[in-house]
Amino acid sequence: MTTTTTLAAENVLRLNLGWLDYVLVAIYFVFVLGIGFIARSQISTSLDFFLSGRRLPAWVTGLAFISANLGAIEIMGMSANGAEVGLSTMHYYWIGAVPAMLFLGVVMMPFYYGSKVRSVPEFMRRRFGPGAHLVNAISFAFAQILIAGVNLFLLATVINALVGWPRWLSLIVAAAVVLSYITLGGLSAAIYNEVLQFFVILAALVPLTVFGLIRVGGWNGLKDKVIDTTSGGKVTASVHDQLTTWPGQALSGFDSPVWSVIGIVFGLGFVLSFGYWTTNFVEVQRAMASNSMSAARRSPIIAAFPKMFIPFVIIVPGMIAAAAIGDMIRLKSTGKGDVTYNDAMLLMIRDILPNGLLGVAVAGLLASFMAGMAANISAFNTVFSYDIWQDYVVKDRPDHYYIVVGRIATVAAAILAIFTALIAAGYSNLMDYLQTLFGFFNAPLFATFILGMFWKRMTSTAGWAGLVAGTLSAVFVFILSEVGVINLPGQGMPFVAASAAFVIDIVVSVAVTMVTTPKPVTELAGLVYSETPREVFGDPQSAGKAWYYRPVPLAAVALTLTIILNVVFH
Amino acid sequence: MASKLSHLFDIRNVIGALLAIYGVVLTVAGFAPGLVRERDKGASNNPVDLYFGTDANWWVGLALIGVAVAFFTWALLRPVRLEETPTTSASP
Repeated sequence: MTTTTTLAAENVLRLNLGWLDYVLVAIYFVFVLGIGFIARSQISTSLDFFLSGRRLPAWVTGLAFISANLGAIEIMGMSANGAEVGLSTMHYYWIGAVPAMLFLGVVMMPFYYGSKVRSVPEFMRRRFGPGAHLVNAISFAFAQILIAGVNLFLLATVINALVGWPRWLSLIVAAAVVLSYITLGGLSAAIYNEVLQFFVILAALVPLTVFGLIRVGGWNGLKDKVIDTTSGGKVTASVHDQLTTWPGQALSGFDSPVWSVIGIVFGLGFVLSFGYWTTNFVEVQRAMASNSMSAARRSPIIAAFPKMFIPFVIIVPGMIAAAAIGDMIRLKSTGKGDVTYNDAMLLMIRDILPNGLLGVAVAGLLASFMAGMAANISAFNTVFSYDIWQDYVVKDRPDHYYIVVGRIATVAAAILAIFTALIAAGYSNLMDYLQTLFGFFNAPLFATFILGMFWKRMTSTAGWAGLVAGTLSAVFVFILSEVGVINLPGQGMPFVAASAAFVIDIVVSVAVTMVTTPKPVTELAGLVYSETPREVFGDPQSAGKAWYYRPVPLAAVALTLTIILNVVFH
Repeated sequence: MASKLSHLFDIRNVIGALLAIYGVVLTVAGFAPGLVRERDKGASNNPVDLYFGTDANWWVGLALIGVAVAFFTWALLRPVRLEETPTTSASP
């Protein structure tokens, strides 16, 4: 999902931090580095370094799964959407995340965990051979460095606006901290810090929401204070649009309510979100670190529960900001002002919290920036070491060699991310474009994976041909929309681009399969549903356990809750 | 010794420790507001005064201590099993 990198002018956002706030931030840094040292003692093989030795319990990998995605970019971007279009932003969570996470746990995780692959690209290699694997591994590795750099740049920008530290200082400090704990403790250090970050960020967001709601007179008080969003003299989101989730025209940008619902359900809910959640190794890696098939399947499902409720402490503060903060109200009613929508969360922190809690909020923001970056880097070093270095460059070395490669890759990634951040500082539009483009890689990936997992005839050539054709068609739609041939406001363009990529990928894959030779059936065990012995997917340890220890009943409860939330807030 | 260390460094105890420290510091700061200067609110053009005052610190501080105690209790009642076999869940 794309984000812009604009914030308000410096002094508007400045917080007056006291010594107590700095103490709280410092304590957090001690814990972050401490976790790196603790996790180091657990590393003896490369699997320990890259996949935490596959021994973490489901609640840890589940919270890390959600936390890896709960970066500060997400928090600021989604509260900005909350300020601008209100409750329809919930679709990003209830339609655009939860169903895909449940699908990953119920349907796809058995293939990932059961085949014992160490990364998502490795599954690609085993199923489709080196062509599709290289396309996937290289584009993924490249995208991770880019996203880590953008994250780092935003961290420096936000800290500069809030506290006034020079950008280069926070850039280098944050990169050095992330670098040290990942080089020391590998994925375990990243995952433990993600779990810790989850609670710190909640310790800031929950009070912010509760106190904000008390001040505006509760939920009803907030509803009374919401105003129309105006841009260029036109109302882009009416009060009614902002207080209901469906049909979500303010979000999708479609005029027709029917097309808006179709766009949100198929474009966001199916193509974009299934593509992102089920094939993105940053997420899937967390589940792969689980200690059993049952735990691996349950981790995205456990993650779905916080994912359902977390928008209440992200989107609602955005709505409060837009209803109660003077600068924000002016922006909303005139379309211009000294602040941007991206400032919504920061303005709330500035106006609500006293010294003390301000320190918790700054620690939480730093934590979520660093956890976001750490997630990208720990996924990068795994794909680089296993999928690029071990598969194509230096093969068949002893296991210990690849831990060293992983540590070097981590250092290189952190340095590259600093350079990417410096480029982002100069060319922020370029970064926005690139992020949009990488968003297009996921939709065709999902099409290729799902066909490959359930259709044993699908050939290796079809694997990479479908991927390339799908990605190119998304880029084609993007270019058409950029030069104005098709005009899709709001989120319409990503929805259409991803849908085109998905459909073209399927069509090309099927067509190419018909004229090429499939892999021998014997090589497909564990990779294709019909060729895998049932006991590989079996889950002996969840038999007879309570419903919340079993993936499918747990997923059913999560789905029911999501439907109830959609009905209550329709 | 190794078992004591790994118990102490159970991630649940680490989370509990951080939240407990935050909780105690915030509670003290909330009940002794002299420790932190009352913040300069600046020229605000907000139609609603959102600032909650230093009392917010001890509200949140006490809540965090509660969450920390919950984590310590959980770690105490369901300790990590040391023999890590790939088929058993180390903790729920």
